[in-house]
Amino acid sequence: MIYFVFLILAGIFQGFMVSLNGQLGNYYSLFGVCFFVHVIAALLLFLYIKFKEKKPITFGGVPKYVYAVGFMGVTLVASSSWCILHIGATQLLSLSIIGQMISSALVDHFGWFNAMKKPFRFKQLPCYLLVLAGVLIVVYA
Amino acid sequence: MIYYIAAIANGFLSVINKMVNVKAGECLGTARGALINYIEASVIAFCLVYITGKGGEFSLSFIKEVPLLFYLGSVCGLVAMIFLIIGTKNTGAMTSTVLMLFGQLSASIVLDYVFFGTFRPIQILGIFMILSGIAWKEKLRELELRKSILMNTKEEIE
Repeated sequence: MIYFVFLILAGIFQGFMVSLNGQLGNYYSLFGVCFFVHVIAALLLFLYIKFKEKKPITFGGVPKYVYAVGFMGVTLVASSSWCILHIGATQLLSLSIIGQMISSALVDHFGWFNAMKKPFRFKQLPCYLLVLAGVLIVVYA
Repeated sequence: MIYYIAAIANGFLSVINKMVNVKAGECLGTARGALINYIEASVIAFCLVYITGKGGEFSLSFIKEVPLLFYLGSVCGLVAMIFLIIGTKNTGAMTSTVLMLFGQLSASIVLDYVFFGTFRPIQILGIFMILSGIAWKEKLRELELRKSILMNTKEEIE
């Protein structure tokens, strides 16, 4: 039961994160928001690795595409902060679920990033339609 | 309309980002995998702020003007990550996905009300439908996974 509470709390904190980052957009440019969001997290993690794990920090030996992760991070934070200021957190999160479902289905279907191939089945379609209907209600209510 | 498209694209990219982060975590460990993302993004964003001529945002007086609470987004993100890791380890993928989304959407409704004063009760119905759809899809996924494991075991026995 306690783990269910942890998971709900994880969601609540993520909701807070997205919303607070959006509010930061009232003061800073989108890239300014990205900078503060990432630099604070980097500092906290750096301190954690340095003092808790006490191991040297190295970034070598990863596939080249992993280094694109920073660009994606900037794009994600900038676009979510921009959208929140105009459509609010609830609509942003609901709409982003559609994008997440599409890309997850593509990753599973084609086995991108060495993921196990799980072809799309038409019996999954009603689930997608139910989510879509829910999103439309949230957006156009 | 452009915001709606951007929001969908944001979700699309977040899964790709998650997959790349997982790969980084496999090679470097979870903490270092996340750190490479944050350091790179900080450097890129820092450069972009100056390129777009907004360098004044980094002056100390400007930074102090912003309420401290709004800087805590990343702290919330890290706390969420810890709860997510502990919670997912001890429950299934379906439970973790649905419960986390439930928390996320509930928090966003409350925060939209606090910051923008918007609340429409019918949105709760929409959120319930989203969660049901996700739960249904995860259930199907679990069933297929079990089926394929059973078939593989059967083949091995034969």
